[in-house]
Amino acid sequence: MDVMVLTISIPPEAEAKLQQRAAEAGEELQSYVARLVAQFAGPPTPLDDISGPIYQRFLESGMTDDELADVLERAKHEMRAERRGRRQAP
Amino acid sequence: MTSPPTRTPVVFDCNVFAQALINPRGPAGRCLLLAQQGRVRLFLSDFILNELRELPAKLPVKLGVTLDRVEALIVDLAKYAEPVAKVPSLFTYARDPDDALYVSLALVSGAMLVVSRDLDLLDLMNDANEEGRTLRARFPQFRVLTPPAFLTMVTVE
Repeated sequence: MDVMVLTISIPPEAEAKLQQRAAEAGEELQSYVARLVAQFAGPPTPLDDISGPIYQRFLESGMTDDELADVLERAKHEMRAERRGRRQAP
Repeated sequence: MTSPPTRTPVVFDCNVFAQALINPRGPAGRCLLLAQQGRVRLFLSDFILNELRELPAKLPVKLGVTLDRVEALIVDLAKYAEPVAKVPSLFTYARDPDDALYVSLALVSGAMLVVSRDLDLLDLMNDANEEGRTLRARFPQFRVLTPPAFLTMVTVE
């Protein structure tokens, strides 16, 4: 199999993290990074698979898509208000 | 020789991602599917991803949205979305300063389009909104569309 050889520069912090993760996975750094890069070049994962049980729970909730949008907008604005509050706190 | 079709560049509100995760068969899910299929160019920033990461803590438990699932979505986005590392502030919005970061990303990436159900963002298209009027005078191509309107636009194109 033909393989492409790339030489890339990464910051020391990223290298340390990758070294740690490769060690945890029981792999050499080079093969671990090559696997990650190949993974990102692969096809996207179907949304149904990423959602998993969440979609089923949504269906069981009886909520409409518009009602879900309202819930999400309220959550986003609550989250932002808290974030602003944290920033302004002494 | 024919040139490849132009892919519509776009920025999604964090809630488009969240809604696609919860209801992948709905309009938001279909918007994200267009990005997965490479039919649109999706631009991202760290700010959007961080908003997406913060959301699960604010959602009703019954929806079962976990940080693990959100992270899985974010990891997958790396396969087809285009991150913009630095997003200069090109717009300010007193009504919701965080919305301005989405607008700035749409401007700096050249997407000129934000897809959102956020009423403050959608109101930028309203002539009665002074900040929106000023923004669109500077950037006449700029638009904010809901997911269903975006789907209609892409289908018509």
